Amino acid sequence: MAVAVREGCSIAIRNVHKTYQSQSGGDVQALAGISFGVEPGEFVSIVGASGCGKSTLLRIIGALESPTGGDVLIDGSRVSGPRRDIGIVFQDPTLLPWRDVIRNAMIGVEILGLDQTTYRKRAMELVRLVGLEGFEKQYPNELSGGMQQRAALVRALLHEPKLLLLDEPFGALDALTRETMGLELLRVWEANRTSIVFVTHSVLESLFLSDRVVVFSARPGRVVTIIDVDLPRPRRLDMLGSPEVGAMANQIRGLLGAQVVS
Amino acid sequence: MSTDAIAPTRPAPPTNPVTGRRSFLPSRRFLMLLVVLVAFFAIWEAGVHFTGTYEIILPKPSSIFKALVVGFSAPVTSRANYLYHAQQSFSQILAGYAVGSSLGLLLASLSVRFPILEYLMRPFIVAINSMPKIALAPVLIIWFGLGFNSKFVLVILATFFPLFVNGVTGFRSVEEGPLRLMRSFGATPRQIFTKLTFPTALPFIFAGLEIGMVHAITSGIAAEFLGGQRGLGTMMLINQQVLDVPGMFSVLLILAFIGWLMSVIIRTARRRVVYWAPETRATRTIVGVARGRSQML
Repeated sequence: MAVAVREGCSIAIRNVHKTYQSQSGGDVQALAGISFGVEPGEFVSIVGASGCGKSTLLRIIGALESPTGGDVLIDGSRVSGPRRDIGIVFQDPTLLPWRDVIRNAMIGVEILGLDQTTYRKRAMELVRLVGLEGFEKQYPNELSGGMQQRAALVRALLHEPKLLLLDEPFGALDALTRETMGLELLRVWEANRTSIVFVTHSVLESLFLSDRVVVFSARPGRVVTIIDVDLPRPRRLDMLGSPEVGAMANQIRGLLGAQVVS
Repeated sequence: MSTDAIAPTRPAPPTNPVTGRRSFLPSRRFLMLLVVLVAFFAIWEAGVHFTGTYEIILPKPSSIFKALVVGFSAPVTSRANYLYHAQQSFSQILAGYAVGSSLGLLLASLSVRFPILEYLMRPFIVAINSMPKIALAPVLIIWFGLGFNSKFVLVILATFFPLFVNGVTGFRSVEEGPLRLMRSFGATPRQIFTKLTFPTALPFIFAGLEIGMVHAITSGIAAEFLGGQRGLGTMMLINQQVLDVPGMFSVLLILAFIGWLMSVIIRTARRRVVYWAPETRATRTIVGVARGRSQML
């Protein structure tokens, strides 16, 4: 995997376990010993059935939850609290209704106490990059779902994170918007040189976007296999029709299917 | 601005989306309203005049108007002037409202921050809130006298609860998603409060402010009925004792005006501050007023 030198950070996930206490008192194991790594500037997707703990792992990397076992290293240091070099996009855009697009994007910059004028300029550029130009002053309820998620992407990128965590960001969008958003995400990624961990339950989406696809088993989540996606970049939608992609997709579906049955 | 020679076409009157019928033009509608109002007062005036009804039962509109004029034209410092009384009632209500609302919000934010505090306060809150606040007036008059202070304290009590209850509900209505977003940037509790919790609660707070204002006016005036030396409620009692019914009606008009003015101010402020939240059924004034009244009585 010849990955161009990027400014993203490396991640090492080492034997991460997560067990929840269920409401009835029993233990629910969400993650059972997850280990894999992400190279600087690499685009890695995690696919798996719903409830397999892939979102949990993402929240653990982002320090929004702590693992019950194992640890996560980012650039060699153990994750112990929220880091300013991470940007997160959730499945729900979670824009604040009283802020317009730009001010929503600026929330992280405000919290982190970064220079407002510098980052306002950058926000304008990012807004243009994701195709929201002209909507800077609109409020969330005036935007479509896809536009809201674009604004959330700007918010996640604004403080120049070295790692972008995306938790099924296009899950609530229609199929067409979803493809466009995927293309735009790749474009933004080329321009911003971050590492990306992308959680999805769409096999084709994961193949289209990533350098590597990590396939999770059903609960408790385990890494079943990791697939290298040797497609040239920049990616084009017509690549999804190639026999290579078809074969990889079948392999992943086979693994996921086998898991569902067992 | 267009310099076209073509005359602008008049906009077609809006049509009712349900019946498909044309609605009336605003100017035309207003004219109709004016006619109805004039007719109403004319029939009232003529009715009282021709049936020979005593004015101590139902005064003529003209007598009420006369009482208003007399009330406002007396020397400003004299007890006969309405302004002298209005000023007293108004300051009691506003001061109590400001202090009561602030206390309610402050305690609401504290009890959301420290749940143990809310647990410990709950029996007291429930006990005082279950009491009709006006029933406390006789006690408060013994404690604080017949003047400003007893009414001030009663209005504080009456406005505290709507703001406390709505504040707690509002502060608690923050959802998990936005909270997670704030935490992902490592926001401090203070940042979470100012950037997320408080704005989220604002629509609830404004609903509380509207209900609180109704409580404030009602309890402020009612307390004056139970003992006072100055104020619009006192004015009502004085007029009642001398059977000056036109005078009583004129005071009622002033009270209606104050109530209307305050609700307009709060609603305007709400539209400015909570511009993102559409007025919902739950926060609409009319419901707030109805709820406020039923709790008061």
